[in-house]
Amino acid sequence: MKQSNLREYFRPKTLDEALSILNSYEGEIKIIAGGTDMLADDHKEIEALLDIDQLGLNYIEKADGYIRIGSATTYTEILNSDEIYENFRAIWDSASVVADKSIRNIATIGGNLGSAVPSGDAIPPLYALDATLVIKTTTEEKKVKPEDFFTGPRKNILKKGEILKEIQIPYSDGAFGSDFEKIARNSVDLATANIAVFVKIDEDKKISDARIALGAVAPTVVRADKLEKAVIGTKAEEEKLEEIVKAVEDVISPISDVRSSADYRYKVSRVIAKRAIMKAYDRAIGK
Amino acid sequence: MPVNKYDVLGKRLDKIEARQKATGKLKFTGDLKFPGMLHCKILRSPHAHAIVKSIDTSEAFKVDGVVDVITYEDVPKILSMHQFLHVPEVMYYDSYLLEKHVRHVGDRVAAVAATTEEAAKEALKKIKVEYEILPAAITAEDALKPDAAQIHEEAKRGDKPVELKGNVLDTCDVTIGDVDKGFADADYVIERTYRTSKPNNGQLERTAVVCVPRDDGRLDVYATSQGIHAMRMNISHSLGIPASKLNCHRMYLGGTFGAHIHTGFIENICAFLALRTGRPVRGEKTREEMFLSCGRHPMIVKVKAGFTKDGKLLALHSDVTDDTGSYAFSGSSKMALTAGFTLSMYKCPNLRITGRSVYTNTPPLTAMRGAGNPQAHWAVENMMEEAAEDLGIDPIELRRMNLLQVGDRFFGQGPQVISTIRSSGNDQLLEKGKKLIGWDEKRNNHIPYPDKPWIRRGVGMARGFHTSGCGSEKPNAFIIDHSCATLKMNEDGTAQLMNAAADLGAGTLSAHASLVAEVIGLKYEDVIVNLGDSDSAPFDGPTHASRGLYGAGQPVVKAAEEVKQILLEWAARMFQCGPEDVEIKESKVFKHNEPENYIPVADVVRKGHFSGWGAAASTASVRPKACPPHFIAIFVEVEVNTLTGQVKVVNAVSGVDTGTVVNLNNVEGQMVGGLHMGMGYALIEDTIFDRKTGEPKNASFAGFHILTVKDMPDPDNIDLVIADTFEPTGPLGAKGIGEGVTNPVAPAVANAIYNAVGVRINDLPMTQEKLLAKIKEVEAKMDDLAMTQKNVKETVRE
Repeated sequence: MKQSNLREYFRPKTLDEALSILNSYEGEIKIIAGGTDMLADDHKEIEALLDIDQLGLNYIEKADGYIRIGSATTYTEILNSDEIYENFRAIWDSASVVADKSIRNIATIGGNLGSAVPSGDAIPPLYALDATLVIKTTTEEKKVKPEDFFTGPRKNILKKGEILKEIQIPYSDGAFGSDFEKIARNSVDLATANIAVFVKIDEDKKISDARIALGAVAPTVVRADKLEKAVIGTKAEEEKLEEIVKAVEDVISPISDVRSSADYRYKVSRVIAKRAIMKAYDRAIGK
Repeated sequence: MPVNKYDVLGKRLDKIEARQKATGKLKFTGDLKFPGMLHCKILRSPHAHAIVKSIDTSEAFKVDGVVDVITYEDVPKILSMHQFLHVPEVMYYDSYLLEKHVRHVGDRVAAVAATTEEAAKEALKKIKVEYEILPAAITAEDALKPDAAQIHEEAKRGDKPVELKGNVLDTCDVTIGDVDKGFADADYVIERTYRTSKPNNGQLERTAVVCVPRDDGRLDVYATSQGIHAMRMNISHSLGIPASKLNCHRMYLGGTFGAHIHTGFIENICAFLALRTGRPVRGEKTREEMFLSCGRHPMIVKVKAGFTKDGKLLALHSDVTDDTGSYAFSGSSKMALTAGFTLSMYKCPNLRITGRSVYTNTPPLTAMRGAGNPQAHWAVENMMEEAAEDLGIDPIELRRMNLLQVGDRFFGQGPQVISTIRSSGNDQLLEKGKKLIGWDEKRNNHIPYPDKPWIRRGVGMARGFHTSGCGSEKPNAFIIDHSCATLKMNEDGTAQLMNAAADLGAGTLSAHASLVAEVIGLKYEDVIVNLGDSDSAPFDGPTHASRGLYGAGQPVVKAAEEVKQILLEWAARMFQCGPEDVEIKESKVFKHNEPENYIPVADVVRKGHFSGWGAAASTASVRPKACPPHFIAIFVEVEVNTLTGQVKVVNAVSGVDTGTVVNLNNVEGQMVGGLHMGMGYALIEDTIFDRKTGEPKNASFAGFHILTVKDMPDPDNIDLVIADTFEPTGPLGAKGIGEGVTNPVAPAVANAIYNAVGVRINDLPMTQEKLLAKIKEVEAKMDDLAMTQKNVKETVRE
């Protein structure tokens, strides 16, 4: 959709150049990285756009103990990465169900974080996989956790002069597995509810660590801490989970909208919690 | 009659415009540009119901590039109707081009013409309007309340004023036979209430128009229109100008499903502005404006049916409450059609229909693939399934024993349009569909994945029909159904067809080309179809009611037969034999059994024309005397996730009885497309308006979703069955197909869901949320009462 008050469009080649534009531009400037969400509506307040697609921020690189995903990496690039499929499956799974192929070719993981929509499919996996977000300014590189990055629907802590540069996710040792699940009205819709689960298991195949994050059911993605604790020591047995997953209700506060009622979101959050825990566990035990 | 006796028909042929479309060369209406062209934008009401107390356009005129601004004060004081499908005398005239009394969010308050779209939009912001807000009625139930605000104060039916009391626009009450006796004699009576939703047509191409003043004082109109003559009547009436002042051009359409039967007044407003300014004026609806100007009528359909204990239908009463939206674009006809179509689902001696069509403060609604029939099918085919279970009869068998047969009377558009059934593929479709879906094996096998018992499978079916056109044995005073075609031969041996029927994207004009090629004996590529215009093409009604091939094809065949006769006579002169001794095949003329000694058709035409033998040309006109039902049977297998309420259609059979297949590609395209659209109607599609304010909640493709290719069954799991039938009244035996293929899909999905989980949702769409709630309800009852499966089913139905 047309941006009715847009006057300038910047497409710098380097991160430094981008930061200097951000700092020097006097009016309301917004970063785009794909633009598939942002351009769907008319943002009357925006006077300039800074497109970060030429900064070389589309990369997936192994570093010491963690993987680095550039913020301008598209979902298609994520889906083409064996490294992500093998080690960070929840991210791969979420990328595979974002909208449709034409969107996945353009939309980026950083763009999804920048938009900060509560239903963003890329977000719960970052909570579950213990990601760190790297924010660049002209003077420093800051690191924040997703829990501290999102502040509300379509709100995050990024200030003018800051660019989300990359996402770092630690490799896990031992036996682990992760999964992403989504409920939507059809194959291209935004999530009615979504969830990402990461589990580690010990030698007895019992869950020794768990991280669970739900989306589209609260103003931001939320961690289900009580549920995480409750699954530890289990083998994700279905009967046990049936009871345990009720704990998601303590942390979610869904709304009713065109996509779904709050009540339905409550119900299916439990269902996908159970499903995702079982799948992540099965992957951990190599099933 | 077998398809393979034909040279051209039944094959897979490219649409004649396919290459132009695929390469982006084809110009759709929205692509047209003319020198000095102005852009029109419409100021729309933010209120569902209000009176414009004052309106000030002075600031809008000051915007750079603005040429004209009009309000209700400037437009003709002519109450208008827009669709001209029906006989004008039965239609409701209830709107002006711009309104002082606005009746829905998005209603037309003012219009601007400016040199750029931006200037026009800017000018809209500068128009100052003061509204007196009135109470609004958003649903038919609310509009029917005794204290509901009156939405219309004046309307005419034809040229006669209608006395409007409350918001009921029209009613119907027709009885055939003795319904009371039928119910009294019945062993079993079932009564149910069904509701349908308000999906948007959702066609790809948005409504667009360019009106171009001509040097001779007339106006060229290029518009996304389902009928150029209807368009001409529409604009001519609402502007109060003679029809001959307008030349409406036929354009290829990027899908319409009824949305381009003139909805939303944009064409008339642009024509009016073009005449005022003397400059070309272009208008194009935004997607939001599409959502605010068309959609399928939501209905409350009550059906009461009486059967003998053996399953014979004795009496049927359908009562319809129709929400027509804020203007009666399609008159009260959707009420009459929904009710009327229920009369022809099955053979029944005692029938009654009652109904009311109600104005509400929501966008005006129109036809949408099926014109009231998807609603009729939703009610009757759900009811039949419940009756079958109660009667202890297999649902397919119950349907089979009550089928209308060849020779039976058929109401093609309700009781006013009567014809006789002359072809039926019903038995073939039921038999093949049953086999292909695996009915007997799957009806009682619900757990496909033992490790996932919460996923249950079920199979279900529904059948039905749609009319092919609106022809009746005797001329009727309800609907226009008359087509013409002119065909002439060119000196290079090509045939050129000039007619007016719209091609909605379904390949209608290609089908006409096939008919010409088949009848004369030409190669398919030797037939040219002029897009043409209302100046040059003889009359045709709009393309609706699945009449583009069946109805508009009839004069094409007739003209082709006449031209062929001329060619045979000319060739006979050249061969020095009788016309009965020669034949034409693949654009060559030769004596029987002597194909090697041929004369190209081109030479025959040249000889005839140059020798002054006459013109190889003909104009034919046909009023179809029938509207044969194209019968449809849909079988589906679904998987229902009982934990989330999600439904996946995993297997489907679409069976059609379309008579002779003209172009196999196009027929299959309609079948799969119809299945897709019906599945969307079944599962997700609905436009939502705030019950108090009338504000649209999902007037965009981000909020209103249709199913995607990924939501469809795997292509290998869709079986397409085409019955081997021949329609004696049709062009070379063909019937319609476009609408029937959608009509029974939603109830087929509903019946499969019931088979899977024992739950029935009577109001569309069957969203995952509604299903989950119902499944939980049943499970709770099972837990509490430990009831048997049989008891549960009864509880659900109560």
